[in-house]
Amino acid sequence: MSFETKLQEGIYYDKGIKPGNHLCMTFLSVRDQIDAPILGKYLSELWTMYDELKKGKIRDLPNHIVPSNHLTILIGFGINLFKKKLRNAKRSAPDQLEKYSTFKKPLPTGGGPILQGAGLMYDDDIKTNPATEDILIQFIADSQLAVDRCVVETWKFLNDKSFYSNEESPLVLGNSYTGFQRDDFRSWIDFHDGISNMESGTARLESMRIKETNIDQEKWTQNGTYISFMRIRTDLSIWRKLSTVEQELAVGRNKLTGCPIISITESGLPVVIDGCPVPGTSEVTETGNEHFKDISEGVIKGDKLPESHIHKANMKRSNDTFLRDSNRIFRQGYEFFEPIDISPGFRVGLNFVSFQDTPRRLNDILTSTNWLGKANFGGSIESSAEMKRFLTIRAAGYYFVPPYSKVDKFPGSSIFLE
Amino acid sequence: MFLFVSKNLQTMYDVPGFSDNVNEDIKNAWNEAVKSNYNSSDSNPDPKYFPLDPNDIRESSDAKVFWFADPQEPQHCFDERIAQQLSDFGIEGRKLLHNEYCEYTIVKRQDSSGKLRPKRVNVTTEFKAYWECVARRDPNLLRKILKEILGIQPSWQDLYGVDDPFVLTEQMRAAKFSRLDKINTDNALFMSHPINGLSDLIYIVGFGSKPYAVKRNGQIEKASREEIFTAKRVRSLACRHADPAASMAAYGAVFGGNQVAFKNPLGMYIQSFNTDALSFQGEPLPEKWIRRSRANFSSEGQNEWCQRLVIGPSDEEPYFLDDIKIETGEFKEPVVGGFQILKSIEVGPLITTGNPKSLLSSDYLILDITGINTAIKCNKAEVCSEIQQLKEQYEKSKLHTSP
Ligand code: HEM
Repeated sequence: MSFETKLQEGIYYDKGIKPGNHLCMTFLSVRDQIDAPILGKYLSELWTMYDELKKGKIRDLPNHIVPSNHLTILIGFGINLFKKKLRNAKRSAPDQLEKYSTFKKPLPTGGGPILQGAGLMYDDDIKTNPATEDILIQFIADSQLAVDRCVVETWKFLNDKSFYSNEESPLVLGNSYTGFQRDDFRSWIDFHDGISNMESGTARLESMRIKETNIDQEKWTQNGTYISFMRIRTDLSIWRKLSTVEQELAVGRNKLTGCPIISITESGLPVVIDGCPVPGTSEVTETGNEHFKDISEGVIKGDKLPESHIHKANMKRSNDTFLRDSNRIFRQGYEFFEPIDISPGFRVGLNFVSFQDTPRRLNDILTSTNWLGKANFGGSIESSAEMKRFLTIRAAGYYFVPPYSKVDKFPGSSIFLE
Repeated sequence: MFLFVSKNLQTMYDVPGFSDNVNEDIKNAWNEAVKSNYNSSDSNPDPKYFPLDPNDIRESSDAKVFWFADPQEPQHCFDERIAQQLSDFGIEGRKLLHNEYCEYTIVKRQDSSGKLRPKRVNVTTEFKAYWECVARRDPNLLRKILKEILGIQPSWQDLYGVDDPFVLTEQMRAAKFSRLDKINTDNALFMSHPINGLSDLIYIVGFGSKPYAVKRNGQIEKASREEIFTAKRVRSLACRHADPAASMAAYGAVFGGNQVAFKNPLGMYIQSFNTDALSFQGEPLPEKWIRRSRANFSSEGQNEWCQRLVIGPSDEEPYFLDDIKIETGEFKEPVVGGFQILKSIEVGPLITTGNPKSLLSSDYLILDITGINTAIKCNKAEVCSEIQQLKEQYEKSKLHTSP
């Protein structure tokens, strides 16, 4: 008997829905090879604890509810789980997970491209990629505490040896990355971000939902999706060496208003689309400017603009998101700020998160020279060697996000349990 | 109706890729072919939105029209693994599946142990219509091109079945064109799939270059791919990459008040190729194993564009195609055919748009889709049953060849 499946929670694509303010992406690795049913049982228990957390219940505080702040929890599985860790799995790795779900390893001395043909490189100090663990858990809530607490509660759970006979937990807690939404709708590079991200609802859903298939062993993946995660550092000292005009041409939008640029004057100045922002407003994010968020095909004039980030990342500008070839992806990024103990004392950037029906969409964007291939961010400014180091990667991974079905103990439980 | 007024219309377009140094005669013949296909196209190109002459377009800019070349239909019907097996399944696979305006053949050779292994892949996006012009009008040029591609010069007998093709009329030479079929099957000289033709490209751009619209709650709105392909009864074209990409890009421009035209030189081009994905013994591929040809774009940025791509070692070298690895992240596999190469390639025509002008409400072609379910399920496409038959044929052939 088949039950209705849908995307897991934690993907805020629908009309009228706003993502929670805080993200924590946590990675878990499976200690050793393990029988799938044993791990499945353990994950079911973990999931029960997560369900309690969503209701504000903490195991160490029986009968005392804390605010859960609209906590959502999403789980994803990496290729190594299927290939290296699970014995007697009930499902084999989905085809697209096997083929497209890994990034290159960093060079042994640090750095190196994340994909063959990509212009995004690991940071110089990154010698191993921490986002290659077996399991990804995405926590999103409206407070920092609500997501941080999930990591601590996960740690408690894994440490609770008495719970799992007397042995060590089969799971090991890996890195966690936190981030936040911004109430100015901008990014550390000062420009608006998340402006053009397809219409809420169907267009977004069709870009990321795994489609109906005639292949029997892949049918269980329908309505699931693939999550990508990249911890991207932005080097603001490089960015701030550019003039405002250079920055605007690199992004493809006006820095102050967020209005899209549609041509360049002979003297090289950007021209924004007519009428943006509408009178009485000053930013594209304000009511009345909706139709300026996404620019349709045929609006751009001249040859230089397609080099801008917003074009390199969306060459087709097609709302026909169903076809893989549109390369549309649903972005759900969260910015980050982390104190570090070397100058300037902090590191900032973006937790790039996207959902797509196959990792191939993002891979193609990142490696085709028609798209962002060989480019670091975009813009004709890319010819400068320094600009090629503007964005650097601290971690990058793809995970299969199984569909939600109310009969499953947890999303993906059919990988482990009958 | 008489559509053409421009005087030098005869030589509107150079030959595809500027690839051959041709005389006016061939150029005229090519332009004639373009023109007659445009005039007789079933999609009734509307010169108001899609003029034939790119010189008619002012304030022009390039449209970005390209798509990944790996056959998409078998991926909808089955999955990528099966799509690869069937697309690499010789001429049968090519005939049914290579329909994204990009075809290839796998050249096989015996290795030192006598085993037949893939040696090279020849990829082409050339139009058959152009080759027909050449074969009909200029036997010397035909032979020259073949010599460049094959390395050996075919005899007149091979090409025309006579010792002297110059005594034949053009019609008689045209009638001999099918003699090229075998060479084309073996070498991929030009595209031969029935929907990879010049007429098909003109059809689909003409089809898309119309101010379609739908009425929703009394408002005129842009129509979707599913709505257009359903209302126009061409749902069978909606699940490939080429047709939706070409037509919807044209439609997007027209709906935005622009005209659309082919840019010179009209043709189908390999526009991107991620060669970094390929490696040999852990190193980038030797340059001579990536041979681009059949194009002569001098302008910067387009010099990597081509209509023909040959990947792999020459016959003189002791290596084989499957000594080359294709990598995606950590995933690495030997290159065993053309499908894997096509996944790293984008192809498309050159399209220019311009002459912006607001559409009047009377201009819109309102699609009548009331009561019609426009959802297109690509895994249920009609072509899937044909592909299923090919799959059975493939499986049978494997039974015969495996011990
Ligand atoms: C720290 C790294 C990045 C920063 C600071 C950044 C910043 C921006 C900004 C300012 C915009 C314009 C606002 C908007 O249209 O939403 C934008 C758009 C976009 N970015 Fe990024 N981006 C980053 C990395 C990436 C990466 C790695 C991708 C990979 C695909 C990407 C894909 C996109 C897409 C698809 C759009 C929308 C384009 C459109 O439809 O107009 N971004 N980004």
